[in-house]
Amino acid sequence: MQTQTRATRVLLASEQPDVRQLLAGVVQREPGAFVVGQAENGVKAVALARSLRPDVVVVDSCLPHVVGLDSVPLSRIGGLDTATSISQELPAARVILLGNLSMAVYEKSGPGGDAQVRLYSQTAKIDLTVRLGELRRGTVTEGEVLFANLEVTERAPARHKAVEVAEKAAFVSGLAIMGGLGLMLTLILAQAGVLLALAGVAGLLVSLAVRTVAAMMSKAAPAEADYEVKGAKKSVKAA
Amino acid sequence: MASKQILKECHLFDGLNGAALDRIADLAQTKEYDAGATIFSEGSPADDLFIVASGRVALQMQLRTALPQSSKRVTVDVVGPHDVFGWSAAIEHREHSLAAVCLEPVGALAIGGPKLRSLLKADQQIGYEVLSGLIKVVASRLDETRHVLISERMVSV
Repeated sequence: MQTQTRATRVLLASEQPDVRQLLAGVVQREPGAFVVGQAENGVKAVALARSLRPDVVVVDSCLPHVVGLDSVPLSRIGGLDTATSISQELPAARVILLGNLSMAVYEKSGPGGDAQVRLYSQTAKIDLTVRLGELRRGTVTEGEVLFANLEVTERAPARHKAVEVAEKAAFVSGLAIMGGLGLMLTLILAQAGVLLALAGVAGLLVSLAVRTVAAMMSKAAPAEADYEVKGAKKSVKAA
Repeated sequence: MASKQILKECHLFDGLNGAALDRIADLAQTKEYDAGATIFSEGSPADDLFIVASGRVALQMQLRTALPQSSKRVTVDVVGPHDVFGWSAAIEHREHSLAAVCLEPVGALAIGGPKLRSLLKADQQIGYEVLSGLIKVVASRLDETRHVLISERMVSV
């Protein structure tokens, strides 16, 4: 005879529909776990827990005690009291109070986000990262509220293989373009170098030619400047 | 976070200058608590005044009924970063009227009540500023409590 594994029935309590939706998504991904009820305040959560008798209850610590009126601000301090009440009434249930739930949902989670629940319990010396479905096999004391934080890990969306191949091809093509441009630049510089060398040779020839001509001219006629100076000195003495 | 910085961000010490904050920081020590930990119980000696640096703390009161088995603790307030709790330690030596339970891992600054009271008496300028800040904190708590009372009474009528 096979042992039949009973499903994990989960009750969710949070004022925020987004938070309940995220938690429902976490539960759905757990094999054998499903949501039996959702509550937006503490009074409803306790009433649902009494009637549905869930295996796991997840409570947002920022939970209003009762339904409020639009014109009156609600006090959102009922999470711990709700969790404690349910834990006392249903000692066999795992009651999880999520401290940073709203913050985690609004800051980190997205449509593709996966989530795990990290449990802290000072009295039971627990610090575990577990999935909701594993809670039934946990080592915690029955009737105790588990103080937990939600850790949201980003999960990359599934990608088609063709997209990956195309991205790699684009990367290699980009490298080829960069290499080609480098070679072209080298060739342009090489051409400029040849022109520069030719210009240098031309300049050298011209300068040699000018020097030779100048030397020939200086031999043919003595320097006029020297002569003129002497003449000036003479004229001074004569004065 | 350094003690002085935590004090600086708390409204209770808004009126104090850097030197005065240093004198109070000398009386303080930083503490860390796990989620679910009880920082102090109802009826325990009010030795320290606490300032929350990180995390949230539920302040709970024991609701006593005729049947002892049906009595339970009720959360009357939740305090977060920069908030003060256990403030009766600044005024006189008495017992805590509430219990403080951490909803998350909490970092807090604990200021010794007797030494703080001695400082407030010895330096009247610091004493005036801190007690003025304390009155604002208490008035704000009273205001919030009124809101809770109105909120829950409005839906029950």
